[in-house]
Amino acid sequence: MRVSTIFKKCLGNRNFILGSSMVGLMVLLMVVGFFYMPYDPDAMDTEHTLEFFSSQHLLGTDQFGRDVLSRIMEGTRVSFLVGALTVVFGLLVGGAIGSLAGYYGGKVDEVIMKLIDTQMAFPGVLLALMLIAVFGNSIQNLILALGVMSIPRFARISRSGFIKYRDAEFIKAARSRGAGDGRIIFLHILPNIVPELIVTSSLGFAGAVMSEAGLSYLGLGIQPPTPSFGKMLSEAQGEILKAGWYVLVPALAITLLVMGFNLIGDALQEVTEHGR
Amino acid sequence: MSNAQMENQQPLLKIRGLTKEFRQGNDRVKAVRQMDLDIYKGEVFGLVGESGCGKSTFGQMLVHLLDPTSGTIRLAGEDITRPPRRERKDLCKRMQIVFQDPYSSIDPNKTIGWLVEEPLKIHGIGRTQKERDEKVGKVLQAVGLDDSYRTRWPNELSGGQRQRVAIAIALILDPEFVVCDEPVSALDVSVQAQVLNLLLDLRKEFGLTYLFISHDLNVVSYMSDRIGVMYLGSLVELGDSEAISRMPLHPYTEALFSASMDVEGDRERIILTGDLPSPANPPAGCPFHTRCVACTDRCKAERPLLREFEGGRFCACHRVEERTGLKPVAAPEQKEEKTE
Repeated sequence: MRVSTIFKKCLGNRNFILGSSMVGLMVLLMVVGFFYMPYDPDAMDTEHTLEFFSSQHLLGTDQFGRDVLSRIMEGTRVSFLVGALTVVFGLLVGGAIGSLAGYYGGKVDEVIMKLIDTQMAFPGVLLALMLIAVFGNSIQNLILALGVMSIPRFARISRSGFIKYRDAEFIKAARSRGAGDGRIIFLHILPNIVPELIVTSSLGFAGAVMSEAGLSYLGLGIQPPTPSFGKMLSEAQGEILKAGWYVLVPALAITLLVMGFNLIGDALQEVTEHGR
Repeated sequence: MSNAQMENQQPLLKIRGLTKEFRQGNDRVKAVRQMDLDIYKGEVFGLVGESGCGKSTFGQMLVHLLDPTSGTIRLAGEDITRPPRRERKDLCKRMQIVFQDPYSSIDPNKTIGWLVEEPLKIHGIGRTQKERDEKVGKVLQAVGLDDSYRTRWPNELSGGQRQRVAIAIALILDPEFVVCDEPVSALDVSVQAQVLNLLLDLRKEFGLTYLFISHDLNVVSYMSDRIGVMYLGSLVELGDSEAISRMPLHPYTEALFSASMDVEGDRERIILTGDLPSPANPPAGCPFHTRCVACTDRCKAERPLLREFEGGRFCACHRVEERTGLKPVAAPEQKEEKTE
């Protein structure tokens, strides 16, 4: 199915509309943040700590008197950066590995899939913890760890796509016209599994945002004072009795992003499968 | 084309002892066994048989989609059984294939213009886009599609239109030989005749030679100059299309004609019982003896060879003489194949 048809069908899907408006809201916050923020997200103001929502501080202030809205706006950057780079990494590495396995089959497939299975035997967060412990605590390592974690998912999807199409009649037809492996892989099979890859990317994005929040909450990954949703959540935890609303703000931000991308993923899956 | 004409010619394709085995677990299944066949330039050779008899496997071996286990294929005298990579690509320009199902044999994600142009790009034909566009336009016109189809997508086309596109893609490289692998079986009956006539017109226009594979005897006898009948991976009868339909020699051919016979036919209807035996475990003796109406003890023990009979006809049956009165032309070749 072509991307234009998929897009048209998506516009009629309730989950897609809901999901994309959630994600859209977060994107809007991020984009506006590049040009305008109500306050410097790192500026402390000990006079006004843990204030409830007001016209000065739309989403209140944290225990150091920093403006929560500004911190959320900056936090979206981290989430989107981590999510996007993780997906790109997983898509490139996992997609390539899976395509090779699926297209060539046989021994190549067996070896690659055994490696993937081995990696999947490790719990994802444990793997990330290990990588961060070994290579140090930085955003690059966090993305690397999450990227490595997302490889199996992409590899499996592209492998099954390639297996589905490698013996298809139109691939045979292309071969009988003299098309080489490169042409068949990139021009005939890949465009046909784009819908599946988009779905996986969307779900992978949600997963990466979630994992980043989780690791930052544990104090790994994003380091203060850079705001990140997970970090804000853990800071708010200490003040939960004094200012319960403060926990809700980053929690809501994470929910919007993760749920938004999951809804988009589900909707795409629905749309592309019914269309076939 | 008459027999006399053909005898003066070198065959375009000369196939000898072509065999394809597939591995199925520990078993080896002979999908095609020891096929000998000559296909002459300009003819339509019809290959008919039930599904699973190996006719598509045979066709795909000719265009190198499958590698034969043994045997040789010669194209205009040149051995093309196992060509090196480079030559394999060049051979695509000379031999093409049209598949059965135009819904699955066309990439759904490309426009018609892109698909028809692709072979030109693969083989570096036509230096400029304009040159290639002209060629695409010409071949689309030849298959009866106008220029507006270039920008259309496969899912906007009907089965017949799609098959026309598939034919255009096969013809754009200007091949000498085209394998038509059940090209109309997936189409509506109303469209079948159009596509068949198109194929016949194109043969004249482009000077093509066809191997026409089908399970439909009516279609094959309409299309072909000569017919080969396949059963369980080997030829059981071969001869002029007209002669075969007038008087089939092999009981299997007879049964096929009887099954597709019109109501006014005066021959008694023969109904085959039982299924096609598994090629993994073929019956001993004549492969057809399990379903044959004229089976004798000899048929159960000894595998008949393809023998030549009067009138340039070939048949692999022990009982041709007593059943039809035709005399064999020469003693059968001593090339007994062991029956496993």
